[in-house]
Amino acid sequence: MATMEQAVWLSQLNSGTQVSNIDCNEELLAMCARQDQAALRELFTRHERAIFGMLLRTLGNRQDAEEAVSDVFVKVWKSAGTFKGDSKFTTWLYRIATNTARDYLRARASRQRVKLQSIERFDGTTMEIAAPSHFNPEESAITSSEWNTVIEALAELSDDDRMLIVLYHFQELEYDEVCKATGISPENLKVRLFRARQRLKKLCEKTEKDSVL
Amino acid sequence: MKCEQIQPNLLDYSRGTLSVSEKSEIREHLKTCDECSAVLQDEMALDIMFKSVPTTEPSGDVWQKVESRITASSPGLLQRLRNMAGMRIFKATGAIAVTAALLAVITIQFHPQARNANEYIAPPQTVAANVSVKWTDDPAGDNSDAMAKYIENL
Repeated sequence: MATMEQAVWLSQLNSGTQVSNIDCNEELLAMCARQDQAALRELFTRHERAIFGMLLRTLGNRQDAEEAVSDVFVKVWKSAGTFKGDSKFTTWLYRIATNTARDYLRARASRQRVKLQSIERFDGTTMEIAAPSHFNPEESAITSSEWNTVIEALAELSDDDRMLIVLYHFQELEYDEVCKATGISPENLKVRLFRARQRLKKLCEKTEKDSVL
Repeated sequence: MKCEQIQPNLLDYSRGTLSVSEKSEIREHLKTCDECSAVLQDEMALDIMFKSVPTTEPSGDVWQKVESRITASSPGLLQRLRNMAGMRIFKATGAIAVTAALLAVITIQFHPQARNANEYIAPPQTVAANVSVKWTDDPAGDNSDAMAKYIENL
């Protein structure tokens, strides 16, 4: 990882070089800060798939995930000048992606609350959401039945648990990177991850039982 | 160590990423604890499952969305040129104004016609004082003849 000063210096030295020949993400980010769209395009090409995978598993449907991916890279473009270089570019990117996913989940939760309230007002009945309607295994494009079970179980996890599982297990971030992306302290992370896995396992077992019945 | 302290570390134990002392402590605990041994099996099974995640491709048009949004939010080439032109016009206008002011001051101070004009519009008492130098031989002693000649010359 280059320091920010090195990245800026290299980006000035390499101005005019093909962006695909530049290995250093931080250097490309410094070029983004100088409004170089080709540098953003290169960062997008390198990281789109990973960020999309993370957002798809966190948000549960392709449409939201793709919208969120575009939000993430617009934020990268606008905030490129604020990157201090005290972490890896990918850690910084995942922090933006995590915050974006939380915004989507929060907005979705408030929409669901509104929906629930209106049903209570007009029908006088209580509404139970058995599984979040926004989480669609079909749209996640995972074909194996085993994976459908996991995806359904993931959908029923809390947003925080799902985020942890996705970042650590699916995106394979290190513990310290997950801490930086989520703001969870290193002392708590292992315990919270363990509990999230335990809840996921129970939900998988429940989903399997339900499908057999 | 108690089970609740052991269990969050079992995944790392199965991956072999713990320190030697932690490893041996957990190994000893597992020999006598069926519950933690069962949790270890679950953790290993989940880890294998997580690693077999099928990857999912995004559709191809996400970049177009990003590109249109950053182009819309940042000033376009035309706007940047306008801004630059505006700045140049502003600078040129300022320079012209300063030059004109300097020229006006210089003209007023040094131009001969302007000096005559100053003399021409001099207040009457000053003229009278100048004339009085010539009129020292005024017989009436009140400058009346000289004053009359001065007025005729006007």
